[in-house]
Parts: sequence; structure tokens; C-alpha cells
Amino acid sequence: MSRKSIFGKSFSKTINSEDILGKEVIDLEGKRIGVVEKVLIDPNSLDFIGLEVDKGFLKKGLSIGKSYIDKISESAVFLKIKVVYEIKNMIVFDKIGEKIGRVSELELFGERNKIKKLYIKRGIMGGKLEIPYHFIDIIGYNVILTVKKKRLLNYNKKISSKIS
Amino acid sequence: MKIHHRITKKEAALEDTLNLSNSLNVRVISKNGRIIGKASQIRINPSKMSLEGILVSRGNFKKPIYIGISYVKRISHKSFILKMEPSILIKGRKVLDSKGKKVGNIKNIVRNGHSNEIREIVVTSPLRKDIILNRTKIKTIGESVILKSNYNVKKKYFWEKL
Repeated sequence: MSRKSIFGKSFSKTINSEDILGKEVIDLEGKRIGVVEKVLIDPNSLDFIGLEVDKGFLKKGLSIGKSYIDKISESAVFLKIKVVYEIKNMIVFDKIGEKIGRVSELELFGERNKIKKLYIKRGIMGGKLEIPYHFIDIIGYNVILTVKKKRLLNYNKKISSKIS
Repeated sequence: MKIHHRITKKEAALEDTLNLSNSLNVRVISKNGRIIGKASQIRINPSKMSLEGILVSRGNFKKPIYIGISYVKRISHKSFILKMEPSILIKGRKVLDSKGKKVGNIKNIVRNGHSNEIREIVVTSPLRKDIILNRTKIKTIGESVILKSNYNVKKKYFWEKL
């Protein structure tokens, strides 16, 4: 049956929510982030604003803004970025490759995909080590810092003495 | 450091050098922070008397990797940090076309000589013939390999002629 349309323009090149839902979401480096669970639309402007991603069983969902999406293809949604939340549990090495710990928490600049601080849990007593963004050199499989462990510990000492 | 006599011409002072025996069995970390293995040997060139490379052992059943010193960024008594991601370690990774469809997995890597530069990758998938892809067809190498949009892989089943 032919469908009636009051679209105003041809919608042959558009995609619908069914085309997007359930598609794999792949980051800049080809890592699978999850599958599209929801398509987010601004109720006032009626614009497409982003996607909600299901990362799997027992994992928190993730909302990704439109500006971080590179393209939506037949089989997947490609992102322009590496999702910063994927940094959790990565090993942190200092400048000379000494292991400092694993990332337990992170703080972002607002809700952007930009790291402000990383936190490493130390020991059973729950002490935390703070790493500001300017101490981070590389984020890849793990994290490499621009400073040595000693300097990081001194930085944290300064912070804790300021607080107390 | 113990008090010592010094007999040198242009060479650095003892304090400014590194005792390589402390750097044995330390971690070898790739550019992106991947732990490659442990430095089991540090090799020197006997005629030039310079550092030539390190032998990285990767545990049982895995071949060690000899990495030339030109690929090493930093040496310390805690680790060796490399300037690159060893390309031979991408074996087995997923290959996706520009639309996100799986093409197969990397079966083999052809490099330019012994360098880390990839010339071709051989992609395999079940029931299909192996595909050889030139480096120029690759967009990204990361957790998986993504191909460029101008390249459409035509998969052939093994019973089809080339």
C-alpha cells in the first residue's frame, strides 16, 4: 500500500529510530562501547540530540551527545571520540613506567568528554590519590603520566595539607 | 652512591648513567600503555659498544620480541617505554569495514622488513577466502581495525574462483 506523506521534502535519505536501535556503538579506536538503547530528541526544538547506549549487563548506561557522533552507518554508530569513562580500571604508570595504581573514579569538565581529574584508590583503608589532567600524558590501553610518582605524591600532600 | 675514582674523557659522570642490571626483568610498556612483557635481555653492539635493543619475554608459549633501541622512548630502573605499538600484536583483532560490518580477523601481518611499519594485513573469516589488505586501505588501528570508506571488501567463499 502506498504511504501518504506530509513531510514537505523527500525523506528517502532519512533513517528512522528502528534503523538505529540495537546498533553497535564503536569508538574512535574501534572499541565496542555497547548498543543503542534509546534515541534522544529535544522536545522543544524536536532536534535529534543524542543516543543512550546500553553497555551490557550490570553496567551503567551512557548518554552520548550528537556532537560526538561521527556517522551512523548500516551496521554501527561510529563515534568521533574515545569515551573517557572507559578509563576506569586502567593501570596508571608514572613517567618512568612505575605502576601507581588503577583508576577508580574520574571527574569531568561538566558533562563533556574531557577529564578534569582522575582518582586512584590506594590500599584497603580507602586513601585516594588525585591526578589532575595536566599530569596525564597518554590514555591508551593504560594511562601514562608526565610526572614521576614522587612528584604526584608531593602534589597530593600539598592538597591534603591545604584541606586540613 | 659509593665514592669512586673517575677515569673518563667525554663520557657522562657515573651519577648521570643508568645501571642496566637494575633494568632487567622490568616491564616493557608500549606507547599507549600496553604491557608487552618483561625485558629479559639488554643487547649491546660489541663493535660500536652501543645499546642495540631489548629482548622482551612475554611468558610461556609466546615468542619473545627483540625490539630495536630506536623504538625505545625511555629507559629507567622501573620500565622501558616504547615509542610505538608493536604491529605484530594486532594479530587476531577484528577488522570492520567503514560501515561497521565485520570483515574478519587478522591472520597475519606483512611488515616492511623487520620494521614496525605494516605493509599488508591478511584477514580471515570462516568459510571465506583470506583477504589481503594494503596499509593504505586502513583508517584506524586500535582495539579493532577499521577500513577506509572508499574500500568495499568483496568477500569470496572458498569455493568461488578468484
